[in-house]
Amino acid sequence: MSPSPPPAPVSNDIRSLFARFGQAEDAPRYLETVRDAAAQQALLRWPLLAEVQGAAQ
Amino acid sequence: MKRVALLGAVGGAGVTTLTAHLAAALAGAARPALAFDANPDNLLRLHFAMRWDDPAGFARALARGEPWQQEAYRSPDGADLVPFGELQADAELARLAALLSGQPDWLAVQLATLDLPQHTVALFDCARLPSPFTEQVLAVADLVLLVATPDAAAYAATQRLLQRLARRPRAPQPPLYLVLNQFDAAQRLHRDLAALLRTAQQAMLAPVLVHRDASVPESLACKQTTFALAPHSQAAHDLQALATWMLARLGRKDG
Repeated sequence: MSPSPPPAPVSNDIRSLFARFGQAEDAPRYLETVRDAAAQQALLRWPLLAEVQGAAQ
Repeated sequence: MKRVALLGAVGGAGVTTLTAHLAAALAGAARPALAFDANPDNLLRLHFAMRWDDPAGFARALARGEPWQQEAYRSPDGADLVPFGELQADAELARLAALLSGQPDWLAVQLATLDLPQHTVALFDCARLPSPFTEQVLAVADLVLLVATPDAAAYAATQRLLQRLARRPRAPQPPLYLVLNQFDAAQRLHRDLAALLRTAQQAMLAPVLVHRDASVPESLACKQTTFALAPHSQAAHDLQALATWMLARLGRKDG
């Protein structure tokens, strides 16, 4: 039932920044890290969501 | 014909509203659309300007042993509608449910007999599970849209429903996407839930959010769709974008 995940969209600004330092392939990972951090903060704020997510065992 | 099942894990998710507006959006783009009410609440018809006291519908015809195909309506938006219908008593609903439970392919057989324009998209407003009507739809769906509001109860119930759907015996399973409805970016909980879903369920999160917009309930109160009453509203824009994405997703060859 789960379709394969599409490639993470990366803004041109971020891609250009990483390209300038010769690390263009790291741009999606940067966004993933930012997204993961936002999700982690969300779980810390809302105990019920953390429980449902299995992060409050 | 492509078949799309819309359902929610909790009441008030906006399943009926989204079903109606996706059908209206397709019809507005000259794409044949059939909105089918598979929910005994029988509310989908109200989005299509059907009279409140009109009892007609497929379940009512079925319960009376009459051909249900004659219960279809053409809405002012140009979408075709099959209402559920008003049943006389709970016993009638129970009898119908038992009939459908005994014939799991009833809807598949019935849809095959319909003479609809090519490329019709049928959108099914499903009742919450467990429901024999929803089971019939899930057995034929090419795409499942799970509608959820950004609140903790809906989030918890949706996770439970996802597990339940994954255990269904149908193979291959149709693609399933979560659609976040009534999103308000000013609310931290909404933003956090969207962030969580983008991390934990990125692959199944529809790329279009439907924002909370007063024009949606106002449209229903005016017996119109949001496209007609507030065509430049945020919700009209979101719902149009959701319809475009849905069509693209239905056209993909990977199911």
